Amino acid sequence: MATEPTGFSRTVPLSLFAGALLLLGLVLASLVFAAIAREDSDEALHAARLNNRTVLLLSLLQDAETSQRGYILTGTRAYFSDFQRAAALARLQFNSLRDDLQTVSIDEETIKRLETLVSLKLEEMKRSANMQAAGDHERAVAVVTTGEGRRLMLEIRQIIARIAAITDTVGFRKTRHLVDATWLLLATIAGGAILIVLLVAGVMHLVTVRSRQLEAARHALVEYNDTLESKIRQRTQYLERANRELQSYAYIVSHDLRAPLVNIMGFTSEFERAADVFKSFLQTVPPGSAGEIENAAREAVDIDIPEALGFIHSSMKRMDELISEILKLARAGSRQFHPQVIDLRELFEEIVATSKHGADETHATIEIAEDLPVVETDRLALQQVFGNLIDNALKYSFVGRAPYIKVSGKVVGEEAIIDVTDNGRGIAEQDLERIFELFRRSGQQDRPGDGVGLSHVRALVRRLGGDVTVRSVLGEGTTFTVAFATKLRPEGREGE
Amino acid sequence: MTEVKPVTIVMVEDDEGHARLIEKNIRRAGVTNEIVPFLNGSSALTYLLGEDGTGARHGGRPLLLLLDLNLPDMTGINILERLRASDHMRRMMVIVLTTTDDPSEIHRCYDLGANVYVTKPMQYEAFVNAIRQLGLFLSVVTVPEVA
Repeated sequence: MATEPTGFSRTVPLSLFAGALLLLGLVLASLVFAAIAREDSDEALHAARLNNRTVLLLSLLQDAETSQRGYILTGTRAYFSDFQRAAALARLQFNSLRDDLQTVSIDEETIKRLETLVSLKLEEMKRSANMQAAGDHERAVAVVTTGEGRRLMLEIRQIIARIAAITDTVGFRKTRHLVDATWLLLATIAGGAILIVLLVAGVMHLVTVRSRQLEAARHALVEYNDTLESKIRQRTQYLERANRELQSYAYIVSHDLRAPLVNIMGFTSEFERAADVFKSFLQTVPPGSAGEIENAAREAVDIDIPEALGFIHSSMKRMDELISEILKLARAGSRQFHPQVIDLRELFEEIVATSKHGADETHATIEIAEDLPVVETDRLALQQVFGNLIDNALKYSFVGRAPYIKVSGKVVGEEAIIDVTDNGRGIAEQDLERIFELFRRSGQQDRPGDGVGLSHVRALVRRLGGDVTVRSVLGEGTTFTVAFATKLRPEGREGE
Repeated sequence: MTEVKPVTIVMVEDDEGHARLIEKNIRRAGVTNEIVPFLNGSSALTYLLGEDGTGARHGGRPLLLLLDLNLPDMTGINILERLRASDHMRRMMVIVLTTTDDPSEIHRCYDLGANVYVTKPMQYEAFVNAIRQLGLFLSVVTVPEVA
C-alpha cells in the first residue's frame, strides 16, 4: 500500500531532528562549560600554589636572616651553614617563582623590585656573615646595626604580602568562576536529561499514534477490499440495468413511431385509391366538355396528385427503413449472447467468403494474419462486427485502386485487439467520431448505405466488453481497432 | 354468421386511424357485421358490462371483441380479466389484436382466456395483409352467444 504523505509522517522525523539538534547543542554547551570549569580550577590551583610558594620564599628569607643573626651573635658555625643553605634556597625559590609571578598579572616593576630587594638582602646578609667568618665581628655587627637589612626585609615583606593578596584574590575569583561554570554545567546536563525524557516520550507518543493509524488503515483496507467486489458487482448491475432501459427505450420509441406511420401509409393508400376512382371518373368525361375547371382537375389528377403521393411514399419508405434499423439495433442490443470458443482466423475466412461486396468483383486482396487469437465470445456478434468492417473496407475503396485489406491481432491481458486496415479513401479527421453515430455517414455519398453499420458495430463491441476506435488518413486508408474481452463475462440478468 | 342473430364486433383500439383502417380492411374481406368501436378501456367496459357491471344486457347476443392491449386508461389485460370474471361474458370470443410480440404477454393473454392472439404488424403491407386474413377468419368462425 502506498501511503500518502500525511502531516503525521512529516512531523515524526522533523521533531526527532529538532530534538536531536537541541540535544547536540546542550552536549556542546556542557562540554564548553566543563572546559571552562577545568581551566578555572587549574588557574585557581595555580594561584593557590603561587601563594604558598611566595610565602615559602619569605619563610626562607626569614630563615636566612635568623641564621645570619644567630651566627653574628654567637659565632657558632652551625648558624653559618644554616644561613648559607637558606640563602641558596631563597635564591632558587625566587628564580623559580619569578616567571610564574607574571602569570597572575603582577607587574614587571614589582617583580624587578622584589628581585633587587632579595638580591640586596641576600648580599647584605652574606657580606655580614662573611665578615663574621673572617673574624671581623665588629664590622659584621656594624652592618646589621645600619638597619639596612631590616629596611630591605620590611619592604620584601610588604611586596610579598601584596603578592599573596593578589594571588589570593585571583584564586578566589577563579574559584567563583569555577562554581558558576559548574552550575551551568549542571543546568545543561539537567536540561539535556529533561530533553531526552521529552524526546523519548514524544517519539513514543508519535509511534503509538502512527501504529494506531497504520492499524486503522489496515482495517479500512480490509473492509474496502471486502466491499469493493460487491460494489463493482452493484455498479455493473446498475450499468446493465441502465443499458437495458436504454434498449427498451429505443425499442418503444421505434415501435411507437411505427403506429402513426401505419396510419399515414394506410390513409395514403386510401387516398391513392380515391384518386384512382376520381381519375377513372374523369376518363368518362368527354374532353373539353367542362371548360376551364376540367383542365385543372385533369392536371391535378395526372400530375399533382401522383407527384405528391410519390414524395409521400418515398419519405415514408425512408422513415420506415430508419425505424426498422433502430428496431433492429434495439433487438440486437437485447439479444442474449452465447459465448463459445471461436478461432478468429476461421471466422475471418468465413466472413470474407460470404462478403456481399465480393473480393473477386472488386479485385481486392485480403490478408489475414496467421496468429489471430482464439477467443470465447458470441459468434454472431463478432460476425456482425467484422462483417461490417470488411464490407466497409471493400465498399469505400479509393477509386482506381484495388482494395487491400489486412487483418492482424494480438492478445493484451484479457483483451483481444484486432486491427482491420485498408487502403481505401480514408475518413476526414473531423468525421472520425461521427461515423459511429447512428444515421451518420461521412465523405462522398456515392455508395448505398443508411449510416447504421458502424453504430451497430460500436454497440456490439461495447457489449462484448470492449470498444472500437479508428485511425485514418484521408485518401490513404483507415484502420479500425476492435478490442474486446477474450472471455465474455456472462451478463447479469438479476432483477428481471 | 348470417344467422338470426348476427355477430356484433366490438373493437377497442385507442388509435383512431388504426381503428378505421382495421374496419375498412375487414370490410374489404367481406365482413358486413356491425362494428362498435371504442377508443379507451373504460367506455368499452361500460358498454360490455352495462350499468350493473354484470354484462347481462347482452344476454343471448353473439359478441366478438377485438382487443388492443395498450390503452390510455388501462391495459387490455384488465378488460380480459373483468370479462372472464363475469358470468355472462366468460365465454365471449376475445381476439387480442396488438403490437406486442413479447412471448410472456402472449402466454398471459391465453392463460386469462383470450381465444386468439394476433400480433398487429407495424409494417403497412403486413398490417393490411394481417387484417384481411383476420377478416377472412371472422367470416368463417362460429361465435358463442353471451350467456
